[in-house]
Amino acid sequence: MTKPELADWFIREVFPLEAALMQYLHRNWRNESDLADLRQDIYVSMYEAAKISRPDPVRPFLFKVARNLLINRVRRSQVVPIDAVADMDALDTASSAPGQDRTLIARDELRALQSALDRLSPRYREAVVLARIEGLSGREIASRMNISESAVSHYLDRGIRALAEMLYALPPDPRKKP
Amino acid sequence: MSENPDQFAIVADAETVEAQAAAWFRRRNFWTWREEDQADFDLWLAASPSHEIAYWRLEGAWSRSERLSALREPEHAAVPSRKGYWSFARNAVAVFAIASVMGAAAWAYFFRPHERIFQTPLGGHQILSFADGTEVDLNTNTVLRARIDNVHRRVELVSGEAYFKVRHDAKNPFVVTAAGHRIVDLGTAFAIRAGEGQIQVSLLEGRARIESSVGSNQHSVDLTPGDVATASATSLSVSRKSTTELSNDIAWRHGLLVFKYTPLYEAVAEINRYNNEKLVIADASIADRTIYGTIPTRDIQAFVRVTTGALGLHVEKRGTEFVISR
Repeated sequence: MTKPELADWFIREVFPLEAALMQYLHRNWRNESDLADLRQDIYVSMYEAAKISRPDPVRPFLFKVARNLLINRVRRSQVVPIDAVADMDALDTASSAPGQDRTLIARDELRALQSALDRLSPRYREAVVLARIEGLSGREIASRMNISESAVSHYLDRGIRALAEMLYALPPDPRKKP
Repeated sequence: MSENPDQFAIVADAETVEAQAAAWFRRRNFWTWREEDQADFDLWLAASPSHEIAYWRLEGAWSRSERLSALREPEHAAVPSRKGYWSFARNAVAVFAIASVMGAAAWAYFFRPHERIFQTPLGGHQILSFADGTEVDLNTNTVLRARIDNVHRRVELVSGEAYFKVRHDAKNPFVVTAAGHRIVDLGTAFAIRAGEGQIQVSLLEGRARIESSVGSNQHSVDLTPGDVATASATSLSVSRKSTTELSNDIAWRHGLLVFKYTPLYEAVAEINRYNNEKLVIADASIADRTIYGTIPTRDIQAFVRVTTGALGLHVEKRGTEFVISR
């Protein structure tokens, strides 16, 4: 299966903006447990738009999508308390400043990944390191860690997700362990 | 975490979608992947853009984490040659600068790089087992660069000699480059020795192909068991050896050298590949005397016993040299 061009576009242009997007959502949406769903919906909107034509530049477009989504959520939902959005007028800010995301130099990349790995719990980190750096298969990881294959699946699934979360969603400074 | 990522709801929350995406990603990359898996996976992907996006996001993060380890190795010249010295030095400085930013422990686990360089010292022998099931024996004084993961199966024999027992995968062939020649596995065990200006590829089992540029022409030859291909910058030739001869040639895998009426000068050159102390033939007239026997690669004294005992020659130790004379 060849990876569609749209996938490359997402990986190249959209996901690197995720930390900024999450910060924005964090500031403007009270209920933290909604954030992953909001992100998903925003990405789907980006996907639909990009299928017609790739927005360029991406960043302001992404924040416009995010803003519209938040406003619609507030308007439509009967259960969202009125203070769900901190400040409707403030939703425009933070969107246009060019971020540092794209200009990360190699050393910062290394730091980011290293701290991402550091922030994983030991077993998850071990599974990810064996898979990523040693290039072992699931079965080999099971025997190396002396755990069952379903346990390897669990660690790998959570570890891979956590790695994506660390690399994309979190700002460079450590905040929490998953 | 669900073990079956193929069950999905029409409308799923992000948590569910991300968990499914991770399970698919893990199954595709770290477990056996069958055709029916691919069909199920395609169905899942097509069910919602959110599925595709969640999957791409994991792919993106995963490949980004790989790119970092690539930073570590200089792109060219595993061993600093005179010519490549400055670029090597620059890279070394850059790597050092990065290393000093990171903790030593992090450096250790993080920078077991994806592309790895294996090196044996004089007299060394190392057996490498890769995740894809391929095994490689490195003989004395050998440098091998390897990039073997879920996507790549590429190694470069920079110098020395190696034996490859390759797990065949038609979709992702195992490719060895040596001195600009490519050896493509077609289901195989083979040995490659890189010497001065030429390489020798001996095929022990299965099939392999050697691709060489001789002059401006591209040549490729399919090898069958018993074939020994010799390739230089200007020529490519194939000769044949018996199975016994071939297995004698790779007796070094068991720490042995097998000589069968081998001229003394050849035997001496072989032994010298494995030892810091060197044998020297002082008298050209004895260089063609033949020697018969099996000798441990690191046991120079055993070789001396054969030359004095069986051949009736004199051996005198001078410093780090064993001088053989009439």
